Amino acid sequence: MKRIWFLTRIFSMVLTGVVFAVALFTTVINPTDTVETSLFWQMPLVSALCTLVSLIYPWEREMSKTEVIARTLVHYVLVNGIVLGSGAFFHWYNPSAIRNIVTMLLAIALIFAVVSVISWKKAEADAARMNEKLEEYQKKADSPKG
Amino acid sequence: MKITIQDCPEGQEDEIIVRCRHLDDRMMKMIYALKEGQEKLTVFREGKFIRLFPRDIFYFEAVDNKVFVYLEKEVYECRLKLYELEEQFAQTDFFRATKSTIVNLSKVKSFSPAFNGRFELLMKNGEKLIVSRQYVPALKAKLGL
Repeated sequence: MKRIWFLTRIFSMVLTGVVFAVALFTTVINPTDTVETSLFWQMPLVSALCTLVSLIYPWEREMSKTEVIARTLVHYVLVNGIVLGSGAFFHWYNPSAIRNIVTMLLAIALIFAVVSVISWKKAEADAARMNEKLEEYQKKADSPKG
Repeated sequence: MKITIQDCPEGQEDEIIVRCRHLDDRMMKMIYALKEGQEKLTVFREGKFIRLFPRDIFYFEAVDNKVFVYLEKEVYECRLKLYELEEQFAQTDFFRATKSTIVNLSKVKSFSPAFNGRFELLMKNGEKLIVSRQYVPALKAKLGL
């Protein structure tokens, strides 16, 4: 259940990032008058695939710092592969145009960075609340009435 | 000081109620003694057995089928398994931080985020430990979050 909740949270963040990236592509980078309705299914599908890749981090056991870095790199490469592959399959970009590929890679990097920063900020906020509660807990435990 | 001992109905938890006008030093010491009067834990090092107060323990760690007991500076070995310690110290300051560690919350100085949903603990002796993602919800519940 915790894992499903974790994946749902990641999925919502990735999907939000993808929606913004598509909006940026279709209005600023490569302005288009219309978009195909199938895009509304393609976006959550690609987001779901990218979310599933986050399962490469083991849930039940600890990771060393080296393993964390290695898995993050693999995660990033897999996300790039999924988005570039799906993008080519769904004709989001022209895979033979270098400029298009670079733009896609930049968009992926941006979304990856935004999702990572949001996750980190949330963890920082959690840690701050936990520190507050820890202080209360220890005061209570130290007091004879605790 | 008057001491009254009353019968406790079967099925009810034993309870000590302190009735006083002021919590003076003598009373405080008595309350602390009651609070900290938990059973000592037998540990050993270099063939010598020692009895420790759980409140002095920073954390337990299981390494290669052995359980080590970490104090502020010293390390001892314990005959009990980690799951037995977890049961013994349930409802106390101790919590499971990873599959191989049980940490004393009263010895934690602060939490900080670590990668991938984990948290890093800075202990009061300067050591750093990790709370696994799977044990974070239980820790938050213990803290009242």
